[in-house]
Amino acid sequence: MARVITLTVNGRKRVANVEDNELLLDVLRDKLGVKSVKAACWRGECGLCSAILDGKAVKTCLILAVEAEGSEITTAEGISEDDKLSPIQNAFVEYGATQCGFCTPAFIVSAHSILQKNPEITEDEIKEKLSGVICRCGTYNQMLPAIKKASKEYRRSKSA
Amino acid sequence: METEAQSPKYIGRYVPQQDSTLKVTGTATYTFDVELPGMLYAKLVTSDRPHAKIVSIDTKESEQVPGVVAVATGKDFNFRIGIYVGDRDILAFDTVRWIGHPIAAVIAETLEAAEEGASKVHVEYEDLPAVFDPREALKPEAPLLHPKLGEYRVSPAFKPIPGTNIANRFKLQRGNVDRAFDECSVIIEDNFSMPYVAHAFMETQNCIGLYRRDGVIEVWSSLQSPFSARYLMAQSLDIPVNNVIIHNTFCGGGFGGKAGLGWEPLVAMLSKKAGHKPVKLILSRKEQFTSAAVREAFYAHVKAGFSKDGKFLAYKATFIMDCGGYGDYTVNVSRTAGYAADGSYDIENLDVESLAVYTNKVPTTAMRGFGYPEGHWVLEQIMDRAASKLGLDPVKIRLINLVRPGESSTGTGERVREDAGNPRKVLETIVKELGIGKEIDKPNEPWMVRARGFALNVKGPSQPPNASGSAIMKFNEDGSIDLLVGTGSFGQGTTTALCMIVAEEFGIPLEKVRVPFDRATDSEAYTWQTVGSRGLFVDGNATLSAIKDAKRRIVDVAKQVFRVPEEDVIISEGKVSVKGRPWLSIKLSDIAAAYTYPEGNAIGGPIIGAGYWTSVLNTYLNPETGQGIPSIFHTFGGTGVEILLNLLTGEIIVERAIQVEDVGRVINRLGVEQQMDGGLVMGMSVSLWEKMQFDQQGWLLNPNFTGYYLARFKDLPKEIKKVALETPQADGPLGARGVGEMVMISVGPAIANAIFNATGVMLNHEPMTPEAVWNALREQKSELLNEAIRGMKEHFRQTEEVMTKQ
Amino acid sequence: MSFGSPYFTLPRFRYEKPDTLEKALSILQENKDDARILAGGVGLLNLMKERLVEAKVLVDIKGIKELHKLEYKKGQGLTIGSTVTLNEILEHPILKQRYTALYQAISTLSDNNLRNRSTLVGDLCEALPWIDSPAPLIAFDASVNITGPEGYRSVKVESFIKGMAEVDLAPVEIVTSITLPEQTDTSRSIYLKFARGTEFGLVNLAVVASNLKKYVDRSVRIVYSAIDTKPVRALEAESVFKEDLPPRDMISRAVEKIRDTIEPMSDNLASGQYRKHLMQVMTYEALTRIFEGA
Repeated sequence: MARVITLTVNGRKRVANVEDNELLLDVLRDKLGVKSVKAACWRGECGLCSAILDGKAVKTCLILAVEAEGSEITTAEGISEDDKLSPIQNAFVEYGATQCGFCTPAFIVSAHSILQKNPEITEDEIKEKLSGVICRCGTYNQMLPAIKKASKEYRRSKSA
Repeated sequence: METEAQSPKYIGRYVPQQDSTLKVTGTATYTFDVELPGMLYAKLVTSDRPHAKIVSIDTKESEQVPGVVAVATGKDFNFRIGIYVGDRDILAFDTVRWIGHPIAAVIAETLEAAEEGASKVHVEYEDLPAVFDPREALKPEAPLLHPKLGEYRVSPAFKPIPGTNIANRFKLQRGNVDRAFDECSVIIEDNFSMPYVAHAFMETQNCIGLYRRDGVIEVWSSLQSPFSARYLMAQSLDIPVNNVIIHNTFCGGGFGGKAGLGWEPLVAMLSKKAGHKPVKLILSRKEQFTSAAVREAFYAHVKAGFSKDGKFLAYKATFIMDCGGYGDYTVNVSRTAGYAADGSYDIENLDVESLAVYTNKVPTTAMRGFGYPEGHWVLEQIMDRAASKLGLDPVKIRLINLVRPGESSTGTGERVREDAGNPRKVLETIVKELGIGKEIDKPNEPWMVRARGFALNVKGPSQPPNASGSAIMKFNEDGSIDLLVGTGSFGQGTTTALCMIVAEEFGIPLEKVRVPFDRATDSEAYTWQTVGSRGLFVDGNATLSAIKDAKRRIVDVAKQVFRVPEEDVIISEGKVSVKGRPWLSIKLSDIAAAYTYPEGNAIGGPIIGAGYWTSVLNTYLNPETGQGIPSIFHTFGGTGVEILLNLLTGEIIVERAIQVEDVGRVINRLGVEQQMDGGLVMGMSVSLWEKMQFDQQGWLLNPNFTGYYLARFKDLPKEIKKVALETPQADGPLGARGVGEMVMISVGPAIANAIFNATGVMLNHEPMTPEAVWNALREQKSELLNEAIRGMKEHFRQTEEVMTKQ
Repeated sequence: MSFGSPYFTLPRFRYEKPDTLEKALSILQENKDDARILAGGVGLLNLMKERLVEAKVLVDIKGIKELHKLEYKKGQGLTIGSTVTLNEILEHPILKQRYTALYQAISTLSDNNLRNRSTLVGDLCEALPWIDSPAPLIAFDASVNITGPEGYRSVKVESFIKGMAEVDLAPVEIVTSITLPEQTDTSRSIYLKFARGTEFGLVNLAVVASNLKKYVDRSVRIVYSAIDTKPVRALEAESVFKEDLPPRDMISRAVEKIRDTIEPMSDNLASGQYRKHLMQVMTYEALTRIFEGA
C-alpha cells in the first residue's frame, strides 16, 4: 500500500510517497534525488548502496523504505560541511583513492562511520571493516593511507 | 619560437585527478544517475536454453500488464552487427545461442511494470544440440553455431572459417620451428588454461536511447569508446554518423568490457518503438554475468625449445579461445595473443596458431590485457621451468633471451625501436627491489612457505593501423582552456594527464585547464576508441599537436603586437614575451580572445588549437605469416611477489609485491601508481580466485559476488612497491607510453613462479584457488604435503608438551 | 550458490510493524503461509527479489521491544533477542570472553555494513549450508525460543535446522530469542572458517570444550557447517575425549574419527575430498589450540 514516510536526509527533513515494496535504495535515488547511493549487485554483496542510517553504515538495497520511517540518513553528499570537504573526502582526493569513482561514495560513508566510532582503528581493522564494499579498480592501496590520514582529524575532533 | 627549459611544474608529479572532488562528494554523474523527462524503462527477456530455434514468442499477456508500452522482439531488428565480425543480432531473431541470450525487451512506464511484463513473455523453443567446450566445437561433428558465417560482414584483419565454429584463425610464422627443435637440449611441452572471467566493473552496463523526431539518435551509455559506439550504430542503421550522438558521461569501470558492442542500438530502437520517448535499460548483475560479454576462456598447447646455454630457440603454440555465442572483440584477442606470443623475448623460430571458437556460452570480448595475460601466463612460466631444467636461474635465462631494443625484432618482424624501453633495467629493478637471491625469512609454522617469484610483461595497443585521435583546445577570454578530447573517462585518469600537459606547455595553473565532464560525440574531438592503453599516447600526441597549433596562432598575433620575427616570440609562465627583452611581455589572457591595443583597436581573435595523431608506421599483418607492425608502442614491465603458501591448505597470500613498468615518461605519478596498485589487486583476484563456473547444461552457477569472488580490502598485500622507469620514446607524448593494462599481465605468472621456485609444483591452470594448489601439490609433490602434515603434528606436539607440564 | 536476480524490484506486499508480540502473532495467524517475518531483511528480501519466496504480508518485528533483548545472567547464560543485530552482539563484552567461538563466527560473518543490520536469528533461520551461526550455536548447545499460538516452546538449535533452507518453525510462530547456556570458567571455544578467496567458508568448524583436565567431567563438542546440507556434529570424534588419554592421542584419534566417519559434500565451492582434508587439518588445529588454552 502507498504511504507517506518522513526521514531526515543529510540534515534535511524529507517526505516521500512510497509503496510498501519499495527499497530504501530506490526511494533515495529516484524519489529523493540522492544519487550518490549507487548499486552494483542489488543483493547486499558489493556494498555500493551503503548509507549511514541512524549512525551505522548499512546496505540500502536490502532495506525497505518504510523501515526507515523517522530515521536519519547520511550519504556522501551530506558529509561535507559548508562547502568544505570533510577530512575523509580531502584525504581521498589527496591520495588518489578514486579511480572510476562508482564505489567511492560507499567507501566514504563506510569509512566515515567507522572512524567516527573509533578513530584509533588499526590498519587490519580498516581492511576488515571495509571488506563489505567492492572496488573493482583495486584502489584499496590508495584508500588505506587516506583513511589513516583522515583518522587523525577524527581523533582531534573526538578529543575536542 | 621556443620554450625556456625549466623543471616541470606538473609533469612527473603527484597530481590529484581533476574529477575526484565530484567523486568523493557523490556528485559525479554516471549514466546510472541520468533521468530524462518522460523516460521509460526496458527489461530483457532472456533464453533459458543453450541452443535452440525460436518457434514462437507470445507477448500478448505481457502487453496487457498495466504500464507496459510495447514489447520488442528480434523481428524488430532484422540486421546483424559486430565490431570485427558481424555475427551478432540485437535480440535473437531465429536462434538462441546461450542461456541468457536476449530474446525480447519489454518497455514500460515503470521498472516494476517492465519487470512484470518481462515475466509474462512466453517463448516456445525447439532445442538444438549444444556445445560448451571449444575443443569439442572444433570437431567436424560438432553443432554449428553460425551456419551463415560466410555471409557475415568481416573486417579485413580477420579470418572466420565458414562451415566451422572458427570465428577467427590467426597464424604467426617465423623461421623453422621443426628444424630448431632438433637443436634444442631442453624441450618443454605442456597444456595451460584460463577460465571465463568477468570484468565485474561496478556500474553494470546501462544506457538510455532517445530516437528523436528529427531522426537523430541520442544515447547516454556507460561505455568506454563513444566514437566506436556511434560508428557501429550509424552503420547498422544505415544513417549518417553525425545523426548519432553518444553522451560521454562518467563511467563506473570498463576494463575492456565496455569497449565492444553495447546495448546502444537496442535502446535507440526501443525508443523509436515507444513513440520516440527516452528508454533506459539497466542490466542487473545477473544479466551482466549471463547476457552481456565477459573474458574468454583460454586453452593452450605449447612446445618450447631451448639450447643448452639457455637460448630460446623455438616456440610452437596452439591457442584456443572460447569466444561463446558471439565473437565481438575476442576475434582480435585471439589475433593479438597469437602475434604477441613471444612476449619480451627474442625467439627466432615461431609457429603459432590462435583460434577463436564459438560455443553455446556467454559471448566474450576484450578485457584489460587483451590476449597478453593469456600468452604471458604460459610463456613466463616456461621461462622459469626451462631455467630450472637448464640449471640457470630465472633472471639469467631472461637476460639471455630478452629483446634488445635497437637490435632485435619481434615475432611479427617489427624491429624493436631503440627507444622502446629498457627491459633489462626492468628485470634488474625487480631483482633489486624484491630481493631476489637474498635470504627469505622462514615462517614459524613448518607448513608455511615464504617464496618469491616474478614475471615480465610487455604490451602494446592492438588496433587497426589507421586508428587515430584528435584534440581541440579552446582559449577562453581569461586565458583558461577547455580541452576537447574524446577519450572515455572510466577511472584511468587520462583526462587529468592531458590537462597537465597543456598546463605545463603554457605555464598556467592546472585549474585553468579542464576537459569537460559532460561530453558528447558531437562536441568533443574524435578518437578511435579508449582501449589498449592507447589513450595517453594517441590523445596525448593529438593534444600536443593542438597545443602546437594554438601556439602558432598566438605567435601569429604576438609577432604583430611586438613587431618582432616569430622565432623571437616565447610562450611560457602564462605569458607571451620576446626573447632577450623580458619587458616586452603580455599575459596569455590579453591575447586569448583577441589582442586590444592601448588605443582600442584589436587584432587576432579567440584562439583555438586543433591537432591529430595517427600512426604512420603500422601495417596490417600478413594473413599467412602474421608478419607486420601491429603496435604503436610496447611498454616493458614486470611484477615480483613475495607470497606465503600454506602447504596444508593450498592457500596463497601475497604479502609483498613490486610493480615495474618502463612508462617512457611519467606524466601523473599518482595516475601511474593507481594503475600499478589497481592492476596488482585485479591481477591477484583474477589469477587466484575468479572463475565463471558453468554446469553440463551451460548454466552459469555463480552469477553473483558471493559465488564469484572479487578481491576485497582485506586481500590487499602488506606492501606494494612501484617503480616507473623512464626511457622516453621519441614519438610518445613528452616521451610517454601507456601503462593501464600492462600492470595486471604478469601478476598471475609471478605468483605461479614463486610457487614453482619454492616447491617445484607447476600450476598450469588459473585460477590458483587453494583447492587447485592443494591438488597440484598432492599430484606433483605429495612428499611436501606429508611433510607439512608431520610438521603440523610436531609443531602442535611441542606446544602440547608445554601445556602438559603446566 | 547460483543466486542472482534479474529483477530489481520486489513484488507487492503489505508491510506491518506491530509493537507487541501478541499483535505480531495475530497478524501471522490471520495470514499464515502468506506472511513472513522481517527482522534484518538481508536473507528474506534477497529471496523475494529472486521470486524464491512469496509473501503477501511482511511483519516487521523490530518495533517489539522485548525482542531486542541482549542479556547475560550469571549462572543462566546469554540470551540474544531476535532483533539484536550482529554488531550489537559483538559489542557485548561477555561474548568474546565466554562465548569465543560465537564471537569469532559473527566477526567473520558477511561484513560490517551487513552486520549493522542482520540478526543472528535471521542468519540461523536462513539455514543455508554455508552460514556461520549454526556450528558455534550447536557447539554451545544453544536453544531457540519460539512463541506461537500454542504458547512458548524451546528447541535445541541442533534439531531446529532440519535441512537445506528448512527450519522447525511454523508460519504462525516467531523466534523470540536464542539462549546459550552458561559457560564455566573451565570452558574454552574456538571457531575456524576456511574462506580464502570465497565469501562463504568451505568448512566452518566450532569446538566448545569444558573441564579438559578432568576426564570424568570432560566435554568436547565438535560441529561443522558448509560440509553438508545441514550442520554436522562429530559425535564419534567427541566420544574420544571421554577416555583418560594424553591430549595428543585424543586429538589424533578424534581427527581419525572425523576422517573415517564424515563424508562432506561436493558443490561449486569445493570438492568433498578437499573439504575432508580441510576438516582434518582444521580440527587438528582447533583441538590443539583448545588444549593449549586449557
